Amino acid sequence: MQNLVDILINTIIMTLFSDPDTLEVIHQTAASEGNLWKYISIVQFGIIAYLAYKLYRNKPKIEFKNKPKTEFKNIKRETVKEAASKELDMENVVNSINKAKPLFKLLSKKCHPDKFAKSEKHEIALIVYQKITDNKRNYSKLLELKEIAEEELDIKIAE
Amino acid sequence: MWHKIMVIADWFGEMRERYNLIRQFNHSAKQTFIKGEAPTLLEAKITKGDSAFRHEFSKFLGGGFRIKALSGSPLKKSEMMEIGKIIIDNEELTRKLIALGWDTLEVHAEGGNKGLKWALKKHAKFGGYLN
Repeated sequence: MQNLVDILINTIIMTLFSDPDTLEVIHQTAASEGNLWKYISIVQFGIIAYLAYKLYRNKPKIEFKNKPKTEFKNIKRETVKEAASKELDMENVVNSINKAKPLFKLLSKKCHPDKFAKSEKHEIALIVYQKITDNKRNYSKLLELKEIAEEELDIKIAE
Repeated sequence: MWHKIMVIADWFGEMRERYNLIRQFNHSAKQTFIKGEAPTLLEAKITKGDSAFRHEFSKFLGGGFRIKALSGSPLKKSEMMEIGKIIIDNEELTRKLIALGWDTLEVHAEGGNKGLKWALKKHAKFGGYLN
């Protein structure tokens, strides 16, 4: 930078106070200085480009903290579509929320295998009770099981 | 080109299914509340969900399926837990929720601040799904 300033000052002085031949020489020096800076900037640009390229090539892979894992990788697209378009009994879901718990309590009390311990129906009671516990949160299944229990175990279950 | 059109059509189909499910739930919940069978009016809606529970089918900014008590008697923690377990125990419903892009099941009390949440992918029962 200092060199450039010197050159500029010299050029001005020589333009004002010296003969034309000397001026030409100074112009040439300034031009060669300018060329030097041009080459330096080109080399600098090249280095920057090289470093940027290296940085891009060796860029570390960013691991997202909450990146979805691939649990469902092996599931076929058709299976997912089928599951998505399946009709559901939403009324049963809402009924299960409101009514399943009291019905389960009632059924588990009435159909408990211990009540049929010395009876022939003990085996049936065991199976029915097992099914009741398996479907304790499904109201429609519990209603079916209630009917089965009334038939098979000869009991009356009033809600 | 046709593939892209099919993908877009699928996306719209999924969105329709999502809103249908929400509408059906809300309708059933409203009917049971009106009949007096349910002490609390429940409402289902789509929320952002929890990003920690995301999976491959998760919808962007729509991964949460929230069931919220609107009015009636306030929900206790045990009741919220029971509602969540009923949804999760219903295998078909859980699979449908996952397939339609939900990843988080949220059950919230009346205020909306207190609630419980479950990661649906943990309850998908993969064996059943894969077969």
